[in-house]
Amino acid sequence: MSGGPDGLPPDGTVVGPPFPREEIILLTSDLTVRSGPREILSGVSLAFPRQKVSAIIGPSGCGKTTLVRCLNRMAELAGLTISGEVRYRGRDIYDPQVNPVQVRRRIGMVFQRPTVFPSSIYENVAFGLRLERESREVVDRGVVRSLKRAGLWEEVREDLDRPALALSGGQQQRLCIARALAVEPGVLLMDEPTSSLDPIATQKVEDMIYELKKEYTVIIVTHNMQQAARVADYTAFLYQGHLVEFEETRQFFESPRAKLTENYITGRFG
Amino acid sequence: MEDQGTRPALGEEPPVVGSGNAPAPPGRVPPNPFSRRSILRALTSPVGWIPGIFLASIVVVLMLSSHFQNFGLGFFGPVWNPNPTDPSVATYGILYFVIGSALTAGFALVLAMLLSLAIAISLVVFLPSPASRILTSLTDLLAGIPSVVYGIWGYVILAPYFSKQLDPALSHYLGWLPGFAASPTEYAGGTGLLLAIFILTIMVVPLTTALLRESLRAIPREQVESGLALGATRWEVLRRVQLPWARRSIPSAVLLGFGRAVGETVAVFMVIGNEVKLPTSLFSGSSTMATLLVGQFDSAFEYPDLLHALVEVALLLLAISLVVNLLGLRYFGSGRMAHVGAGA
Repeated sequence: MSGGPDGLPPDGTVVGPPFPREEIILLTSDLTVRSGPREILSGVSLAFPRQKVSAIIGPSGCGKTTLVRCLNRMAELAGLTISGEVRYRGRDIYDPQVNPVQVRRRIGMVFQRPTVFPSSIYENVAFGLRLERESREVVDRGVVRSLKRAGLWEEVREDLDRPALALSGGQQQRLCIARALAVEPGVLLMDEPTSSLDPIATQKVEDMIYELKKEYTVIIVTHNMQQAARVADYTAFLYQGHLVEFEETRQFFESPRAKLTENYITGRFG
Repeated sequence: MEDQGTRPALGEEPPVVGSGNAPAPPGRVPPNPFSRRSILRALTSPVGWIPGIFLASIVVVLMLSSHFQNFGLGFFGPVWNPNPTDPSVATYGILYFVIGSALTAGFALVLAMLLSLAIAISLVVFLPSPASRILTSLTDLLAGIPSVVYGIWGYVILAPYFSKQLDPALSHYLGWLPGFAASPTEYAGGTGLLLAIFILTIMVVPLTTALLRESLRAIPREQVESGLALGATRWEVLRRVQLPWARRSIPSAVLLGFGRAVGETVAVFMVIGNEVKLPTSLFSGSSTMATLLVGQFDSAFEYPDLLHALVEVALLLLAISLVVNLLGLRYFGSGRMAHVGAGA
């Protein structure tokens, strides 16, 4: 199965995209991932639109987390075998000439549990900027801007030097988002970012995601269908390593094409 | 039974809820003294005290056998002379032994810390996991080699090599540095401070490596992944995420490593040259508090004063090792707690 000239597989193999091709910022084609003999993802071809929120849902173990981890080359760190293509702005990020470190600076990631570093709030957000040896002023400005975008600025502006671990779980997760935003990534991947948070903290993160799509492309993995319906413009359903459906969110939930999707969203399994 | 106040504490029998109008009195069922649990408890709880009893009795017995003999300030002076011909003018000054202990343990500790930091980083961060697992067990095995084996290896194999190759080379190239200028009259023929430091370093490395290695391993994987996901290289993650975490365990590694080094006896005794004087260079023969004890204990019962002096040296050694080990374990504990707290 060979890709077309713009990196898209031939018609019929890609599910969607339900949006114009020029909106594509990130795209997988025939992405297959193995862990030893076991196939975790089987030929997933999926395109993500820029400045939109796309959700990936599916039952536990369906490969959602592996899929997002392939998008910034984190999957290979766990020793997984990856074949197929992932293109970011048209460029194959698995090209041997591409440095995975550079990929991860452009495609940021937020994890299931807050993973703040045991340093101050300021230093956490500054981490990525310091790697780029930015000047003091640039770092200062970046920290403030990122905290504002993550909706955390008003809560922490007085105590930037306090240890980040003293923040609440929800604040820590928003700090992690601010930290990922500080390096100005093109895409922000979120792997079940609210799974360890209470409903109020979840609400705040979801509000922030809604604001973020004005500037960023967000891809969010969630096991929570209501969350996908609330925050996502597009929703993909993954089942046993296969992409079942990728559709505009309202369409996805109101009139899914695949019987499997319908059974899943009506709670017949999962 | 929602009321918190009446909930039984852990391990207590829950009060029986009466079926009549009046609730049954919250009496506890008396424990059966012959239940398996009670017997096990009666057998094991005194055993738990044994380590404490041992330690206390060692301290007490040593103190009693020293007869609390007061050697005055001369005890910390330079002259150690039991004087067999006229014990009434014998002097017991342990200064040179203290210096020997401090020099060997101190230098060995510095070298061991540098070496084990490098080993721990390569084991945890850079080596693939099968190699890392094998090499981890090998470093741990080093700790199990009997002390006397290190000693004989040092004396039979290393000392001739030191005297023919290493010592002349070091004094030739580094002779301008203090401690590396060998004077021919002071030369201990391969044995001496340098060889003792070398052997001690190898003996301390397994312990300090294990402590640093485990503190690196205790870092939550998400921390490392977050660093990488922010576009840090493996090296940057090591420097900015992993080492700051591991830094907390360095004080405990230093203290526990020092405790191990300062108490090591037989191997050092076999390679240090056993001279009682102020060392003029790394090639001089020397003695430590521990080698003093093993070298002179056989004549201790001939002179009561010598026995008392040796026992007091033993007490001093015991005090040093107790203090550094207690402090080291405390630091180790607090370092671990910090990991747990941050992982939540």
